[in-house]
Amino acid sequence: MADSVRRGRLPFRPSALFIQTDRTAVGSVPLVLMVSFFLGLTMALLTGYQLEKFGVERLIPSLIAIAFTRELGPLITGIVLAARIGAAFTAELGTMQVAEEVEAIEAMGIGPLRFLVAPRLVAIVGAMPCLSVCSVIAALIGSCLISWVTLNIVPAFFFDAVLSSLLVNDIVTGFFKAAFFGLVIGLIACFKGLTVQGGAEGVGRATTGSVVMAITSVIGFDSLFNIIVTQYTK
Amino acid sequence: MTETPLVHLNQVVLAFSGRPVLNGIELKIFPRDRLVILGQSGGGKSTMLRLILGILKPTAGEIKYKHLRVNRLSRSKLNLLRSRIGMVYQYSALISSLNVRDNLALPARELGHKPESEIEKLVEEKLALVGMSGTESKMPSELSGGMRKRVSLARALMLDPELILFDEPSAGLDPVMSSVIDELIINLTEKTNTTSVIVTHEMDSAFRIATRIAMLYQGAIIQDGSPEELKSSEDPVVRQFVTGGVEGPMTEQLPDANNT
Repeated sequence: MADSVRRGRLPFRPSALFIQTDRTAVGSVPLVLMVSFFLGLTMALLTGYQLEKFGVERLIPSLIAIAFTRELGPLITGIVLAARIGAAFTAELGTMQVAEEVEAIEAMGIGPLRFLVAPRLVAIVGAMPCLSVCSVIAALIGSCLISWVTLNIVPAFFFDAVLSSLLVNDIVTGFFKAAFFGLVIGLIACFKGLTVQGGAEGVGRATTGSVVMAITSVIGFDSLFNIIVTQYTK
Repeated sequence: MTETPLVHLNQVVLAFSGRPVLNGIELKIFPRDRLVILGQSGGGKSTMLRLILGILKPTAGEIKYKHLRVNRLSRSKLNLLRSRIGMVYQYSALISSLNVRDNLALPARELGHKPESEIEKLVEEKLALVGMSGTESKMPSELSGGMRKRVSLARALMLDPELILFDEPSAGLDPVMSSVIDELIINLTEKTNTTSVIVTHEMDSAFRIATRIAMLYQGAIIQDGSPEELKSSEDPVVRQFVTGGVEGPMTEQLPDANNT
């Protein structure tokens, strides 16, 4: 792959990146939207129920907006992609490894990193921030609807409060966090896939291991990031 | 003047976790050879092919391809060398997610700078060579074992290699298809002046294809010569392998099932 860059070649084929982006990003939109919509709805419902007692339910829009933009959007998208795409990457590459397809690619003089890993990695790193934005929008719509129905917060007020509470820093933080989570998921999934040993059982074991490790790593890195940010940016 | 070998395995030793697989292999492969490597299952025959391709590195010794030291090449030079060698795998190793056309076009697209129209023409030409014209749009799962082997051979021919390595080309095929593949190997290597190394333990195929046969036993080459020399060999191991006899030094070396 480094050799491709030195020779002025893209480290992946554009057509391969297009295919991987389509399945990683476009294919994951419905699931991310659905999960985030219901999570936003539930969060608004439960926090609204508590905040109403103190008469500060008008804080719901900013609470949801900041929580999802900085934290839950990238996290939920990361968990969904680790399960949906990370598992697919590991199973695919693992099956190719077991069937000697990876070795055949290597034997042809084609770098497996350029042909198999780079398009998947670039696709998931690019997809994560975009899907994270989708997640935030879906969560806001969900919470807006439930706030309107149960707390009488009209959508115009809701979105006005969202826009006035969000800072550029929140958006940028969420964006970079999502891209980093994408890199973590992609690296774990590809590594697990390319190091499969032991036939069909090995593929199954590696796929489970990949999902578990990716989800744990995403949550772990998220916590670490939050600790660092809260300790050093006071 | 002696001919320069295309590949030279010079005192190659290979061990996996301390267990020796190859013990000082000395083998020269000359241009236009059709060298068959015979040996027991699990004896290290396929491992030798992987060593030539640089996929495995020897524990000791040296592998030379012309003047290049395969085990010391950088990644980019090794990839360049691999593009001059074709490999046909035991189970074909076609990319299951790509159709026949894309499988064949893969090395040309990834390694060459040919326009798509030229690659398309090349795919048709190579498929015709192996008698598989008209299967361009089929997926590997739609092909029989013999057809997959032929497509795999066509893919190996895509970059006009100097050397083709065959790992058990007739494994899992019926006798008729096995003969078809053997004939294909003979015709194509003669037509394209290609050197080939064929790993097998099937004697009929070996005698049909080979211009030279090397026998691998307990990690060393114990016989290297023409098929006739192998047939008339007095070595008890070679004789047992050629005749397929139950009694002999090979079976004496096997662990007793009752004692293990």
